[in-house]
Amino acid sequence: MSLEEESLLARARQGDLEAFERLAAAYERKVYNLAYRLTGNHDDASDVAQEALIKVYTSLGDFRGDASFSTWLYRVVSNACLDELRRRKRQRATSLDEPMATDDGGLPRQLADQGDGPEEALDRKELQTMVQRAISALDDEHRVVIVLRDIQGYSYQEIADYLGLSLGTVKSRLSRARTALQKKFSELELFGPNFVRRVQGR
Amino acid sequence: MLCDRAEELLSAFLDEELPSHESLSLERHLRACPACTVRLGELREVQAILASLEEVVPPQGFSASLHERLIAAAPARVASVVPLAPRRAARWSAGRWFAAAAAAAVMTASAGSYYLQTARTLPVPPQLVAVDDTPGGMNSTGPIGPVNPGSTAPQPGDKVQPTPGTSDGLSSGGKAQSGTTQPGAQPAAGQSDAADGLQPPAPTPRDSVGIATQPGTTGSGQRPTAVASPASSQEQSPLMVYQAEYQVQTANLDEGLSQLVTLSQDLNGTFLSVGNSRLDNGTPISIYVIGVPYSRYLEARSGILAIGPTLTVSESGPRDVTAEANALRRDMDSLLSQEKQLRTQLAAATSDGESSQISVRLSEVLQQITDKQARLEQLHDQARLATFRVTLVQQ
Repeated sequence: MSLEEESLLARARQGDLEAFERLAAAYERKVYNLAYRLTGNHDDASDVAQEALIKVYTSLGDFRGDASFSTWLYRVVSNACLDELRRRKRQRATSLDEPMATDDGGLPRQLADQGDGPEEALDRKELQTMVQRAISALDDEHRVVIVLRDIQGYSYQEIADYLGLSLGTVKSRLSRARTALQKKFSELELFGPNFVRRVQGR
Repeated sequence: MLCDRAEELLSAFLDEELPSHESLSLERHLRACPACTVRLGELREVQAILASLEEVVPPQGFSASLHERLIAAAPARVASVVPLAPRRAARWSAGRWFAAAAAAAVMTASAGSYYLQTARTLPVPPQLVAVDDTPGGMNSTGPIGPVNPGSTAPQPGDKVQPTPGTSDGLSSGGKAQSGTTQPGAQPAAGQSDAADGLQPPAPTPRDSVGIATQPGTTGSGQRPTAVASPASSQEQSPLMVYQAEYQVQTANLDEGLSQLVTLSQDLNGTFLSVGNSRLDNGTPISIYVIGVPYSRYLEARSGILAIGPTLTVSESGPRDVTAEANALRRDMDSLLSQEKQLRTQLAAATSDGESSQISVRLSEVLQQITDKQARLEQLHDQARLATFRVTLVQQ
């Protein structure tokens, strides 16, 4: 942690909101992406990511400095996201009328751009939506490990730290999550066989 | 080892997270078991697909509304507002096509895909890209290093590639783009990385779009400031994008490969990724992604067609994206002057309320600048290299 981050942290811990916001700015995008991949839509992602960052802010007093700040932050954020998902699920279970969250509350930036021809953009959009839908269909516990590992690129050890799991649990959840996704992807013909068939069909 | 046990280990094997004794006995099993080898390839494809997901950006007003909620969460203290430091343009969103192309190559390499770990300091193949047919070779899932075909020695601008599985979440295929060679396709001013041959990974200040970006600090009052050069609102040369995917029949994969390598070298191009695989009927195939300077895409195209009977799977371009880039530059100029104005106003603000209002607007402007810059960088990356994905199919 840089000196400057440390001084921001010290000020933030005394309740200095400005310092906290400057500190959090560096993590905001990553936190948002985690929330987006976990919830599958932008409305919920904004909410969940903000909840998570608020949780970080209000728990700053718990940060003891025995882990790096970023490790601690991702730990709080991952758990806050999971809590929030569970809370929402309970709510949804109690109000059946509530419309289900949509998959495509918004588009990733590049998809909304003009740069691609309409067909290309559509293909990419479809592909991204299908993949996200498959991720959303996983259990929370499987989804969170696969997002942290294969989308956000954390190590097994980091994921174990964030989620308070053993390495073995991370390994086996990841393995199951990948197997489940593989099944879904091949049902959707997202890869492999599709291409191979195309080659063979000649 | 039994298949059940092997299947449990495949996922961690892929991430090189197995203890060595398990890894060794799994490798032994894989040499003898085609079914598990196929499974491994499938899991690798899952990874590649996930790595091809694009990063999303928080919606406009995210920071502002977070701010409101933070104030509400800590009502005891009303802090004065200071603009948030702008997030640096996401480096990995730029040039996503390369990542996607490379990932696609990985994705389609089905059973038993072996990826080549290339060392940039070595001359390019043929010997280097010789097909690794031993299952033990599967262990080498390191980053697919970009190869500068012209160079036989380290270059001044060389930087060590990042190790796999780092924080940006890209697959090895995705890594290929961060060090992609940029063979002088853009004579434009500010293309200093092109001259170096290799563009070092972030966080390096980039000036290729006329914007000075400082490494992502959240400086106390010294926040990085985007600066537009006066000439920045026009592209110096047309930005053209071309991407294609071919399937080429060849009598001999090695020969086809060496033709591709020679072609790419001749055209001052670069290899982005390599993979070998088989069709279900056992026919060996090899999948390559090569990039050549845009100005030579026609030569590359005819060179590939000359290798053997060719099927065009897809072809996009040439597409002129200059107008879009110029529009982005104009937008950025105007946003940058808005930023400057807002900062002056902020410095002169006399009340918390006033500065809070200005800050909210400022953070919105900064977000827009970041977004536009990222898109501009992406266009430049795409325009630097025409990209070909070539599947060689043994006749």
